[in-house]
Amino acid sequence: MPRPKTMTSLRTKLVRTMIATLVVVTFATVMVVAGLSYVSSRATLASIEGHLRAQITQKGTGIVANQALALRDLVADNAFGDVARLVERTVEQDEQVVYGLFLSADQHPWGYAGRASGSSSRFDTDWRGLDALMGPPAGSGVSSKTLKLHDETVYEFGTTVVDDKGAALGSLRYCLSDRPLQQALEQAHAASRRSLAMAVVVLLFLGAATSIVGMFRIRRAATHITQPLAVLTAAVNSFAAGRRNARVVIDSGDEIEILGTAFNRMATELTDYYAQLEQLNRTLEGKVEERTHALAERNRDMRLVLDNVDHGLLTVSLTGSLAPERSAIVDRWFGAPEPGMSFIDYIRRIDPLYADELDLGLEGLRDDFLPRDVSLNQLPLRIHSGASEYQCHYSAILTDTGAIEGVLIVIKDITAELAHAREEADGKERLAIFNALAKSRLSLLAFVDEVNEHLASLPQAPVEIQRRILHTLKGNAGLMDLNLLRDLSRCLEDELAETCAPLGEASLAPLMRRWRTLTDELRGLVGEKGRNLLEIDGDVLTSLLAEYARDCHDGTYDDLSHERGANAGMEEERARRQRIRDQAGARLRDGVAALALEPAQKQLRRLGEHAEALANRLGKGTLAVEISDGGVRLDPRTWEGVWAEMVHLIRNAVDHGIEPEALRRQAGKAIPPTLKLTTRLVGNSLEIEVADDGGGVDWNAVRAAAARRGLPHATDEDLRESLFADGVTTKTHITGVSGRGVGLAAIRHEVDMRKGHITLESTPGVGTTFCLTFPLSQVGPHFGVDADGRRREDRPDGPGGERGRSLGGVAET
Amino acid sequence: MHPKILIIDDSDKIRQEVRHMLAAQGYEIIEAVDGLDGLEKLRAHSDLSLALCDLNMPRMNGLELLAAVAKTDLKTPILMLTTEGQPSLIRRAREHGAKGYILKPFRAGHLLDVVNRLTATAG
Repeated sequence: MPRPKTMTSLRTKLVRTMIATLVVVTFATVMVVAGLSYVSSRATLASIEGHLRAQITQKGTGIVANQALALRDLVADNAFGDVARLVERTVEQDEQVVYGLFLSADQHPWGYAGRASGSSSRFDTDWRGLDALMGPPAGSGVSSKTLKLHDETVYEFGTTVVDDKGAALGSLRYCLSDRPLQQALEQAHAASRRSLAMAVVVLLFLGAATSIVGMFRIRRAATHITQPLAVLTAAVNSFAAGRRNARVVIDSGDEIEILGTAFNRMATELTDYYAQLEQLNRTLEGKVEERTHALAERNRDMRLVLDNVDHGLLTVSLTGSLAPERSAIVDRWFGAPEPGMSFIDYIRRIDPLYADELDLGLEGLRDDFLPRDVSLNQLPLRIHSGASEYQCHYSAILTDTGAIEGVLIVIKDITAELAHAREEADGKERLAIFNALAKSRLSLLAFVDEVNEHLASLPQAPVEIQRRILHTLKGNAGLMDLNLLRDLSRCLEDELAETCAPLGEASLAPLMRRWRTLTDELRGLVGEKGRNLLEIDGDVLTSLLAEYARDCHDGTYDDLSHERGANAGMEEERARRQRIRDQAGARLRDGVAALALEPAQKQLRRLGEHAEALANRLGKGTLAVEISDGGVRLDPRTWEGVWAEMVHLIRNAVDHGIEPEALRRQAGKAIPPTLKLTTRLVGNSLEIEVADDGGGVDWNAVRAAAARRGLPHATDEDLRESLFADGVTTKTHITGVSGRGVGLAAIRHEVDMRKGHITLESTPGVGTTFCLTFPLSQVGPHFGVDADGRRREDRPDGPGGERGRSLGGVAET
Repeated sequence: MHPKILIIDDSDKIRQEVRHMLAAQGYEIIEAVDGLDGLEKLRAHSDLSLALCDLNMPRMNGLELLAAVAKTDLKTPILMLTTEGQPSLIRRAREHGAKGYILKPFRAGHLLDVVNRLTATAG
């Protein structure tokens, strides 16, 4: 962490700098002056010393020179005493002279004087010792030497005294001490030191005084200079602190004044900007408030819609997160989601299967591997929640660039709808039962018996049998408008096709349940005894009775009878009348017996109606159905099986055989197409025939289909056989109607069971005829009129048959 | 250039339906009747654009086929054909490497749309 900056004011800096400068300058001056003084005083002293020395020299030289002259005469006169006195006097008189000596030419001292004891006792020394010190003076003139004598520096001056002729008479020496010199010098030194000290003191004093005064002045000046700066600083701080009207007045005539002016300008501008900004802010706030208000209103409106709409509207991102804006009804249906909960987790609590499928679907949309529409269309359509069912519709939510960013889900509660539809279907089916009962009771009852038998065997049956049973049930239920039953059968048929494994009890349960409901209803309508009730056409019965009455009456009571009776005899007449009555009775009995059998025409007509409806549904236009029943009547219970499977031949003819109208026109064939349904007794057989004038069997397609199934397909016989095999179909895809390859195999089965055979004739472009032939011995009770017009019969109670079942029981529930 | 599509399904009808829907649009259809057959055909045809695979088949089912393919370096994208209501199975298929799924019975145009797109992106 940086140290807090220590602020030093400009004034202080200025003051410090200036004072420092002042002190330095003062000090320097003092030093320089002192130094100079010292130097000059030393120079002075040196010059004094020089002078003094010169003085000594002068003096010494003078003395010696003068005395030498003086002595000349004396020496010449050999005035030893005068010489000695002169020397002594000289030394005595002048303190400065240390000694004097005159040496004759032969080195005899004629005069010597040294300082005696007393103040100058130092120099009291034997003249002999002196010699050691000095040598003879050199040449003429005065020579001088500087000597050390008793630790003192002395100056000896000497000369050779010469006579007029120039012969050396002797040497004269005088030695002067420099004590006076020294003393003088010392005094001078002292004086100079004193004056120097004085100078320094004065200088220092002056310096201090200057400094102090200077300091004050400096401070004042600094303050004065920096005061505008302080003013400016204060103003700036004040401005920064928020007093926006802070301004300065500075006229210091320097940069600070410029700064001050600039500050004023800036401050004014800033203040203006602030004001503008505040204004804008207010405006903005006002706008935002307006906008927020408008948005809140819109939100309210939207909320109103979402809260009251009865469809669940919600949006989900591609990752499954649920947007909070959704219609309130969703929460009512499924509960409130926890905050931040994804839609998948939310709906999983309700319907885990839907949640998984949706999750998978959204993953597909995220992957973007399959086309977007395919992924959307494969999203699950139903939510199942306890007793409620919901239907879902999806729309893609796109960004501006067309990329998908989410899905809008619209959920509709269809529980009521479905329940209503089921009720309606249920009602219709019950009505259909009722209708079937009314229209062809025996047929219905026989159908019921057959279905009971089949359903009993269904759970344990292998796959193929299950397939066959379901296929037939579907067809017949459809024929009779038992739509729920038909749909249940179709679903099971699909499941069987998908899994290729026998269906278990759980899968079959809904079908069984429905059948039980229907049979309960039926039992209610029919009652227990009702099974044995017969449907008898009242007109037929009346006409039978009328015929009987007529026969009897005509036979016995004609206009001629009386006469005949009169002519022939009573016995004969009675016998004849009896015969007639017997014949009439037999005819009546036959007629009544026949009533118990169902006319084949009923079945043929039913099949014909179905064919017409089917042709319409498949867009083949109207169909001309020709029925020729040959008066055949058959026991419905034993023949229900065959009639049930006849529906496949009808389908075959209408779906595969008969061409679309356009094609027929092109081929120049008759419009409308014809379907002939025939039953007849021929020789020892019963024949049932279905003939169409369509395009005939496509043998190439049959060959291909047979090949695919691995069946023999070489000869025509092979091909015909293969047509009846299980799983052979020439249809390339399964429609609701055909294509499963079950139909012909089923009918083959029924025919085989009754020891009959099927033949097939087909001419390409012309038509196809299926003919079922049954030996009469296997037919059971029947009636019919054969080709010769002869009535053929096998009465229920008569010879050749018994009232009963020749094909094994059809179990009663 | 006929893009090749492989259909692996034990149901005759489904294979026929696929052929019926796609052959007319210019696609060449290769058929396989179960997982093993499918694996063979995947190996045999190196230029397949796409493979469609049923989940329930004898001998080797869809998931087993995917596992086997994962062990090879075959790159053909595989789509599963499945009925509704089996999300866990489809998820397992995806984990095994399937690229997506198409529901049966085929809905109008789905198969063609998917195939068109996938062969177009493959180029």
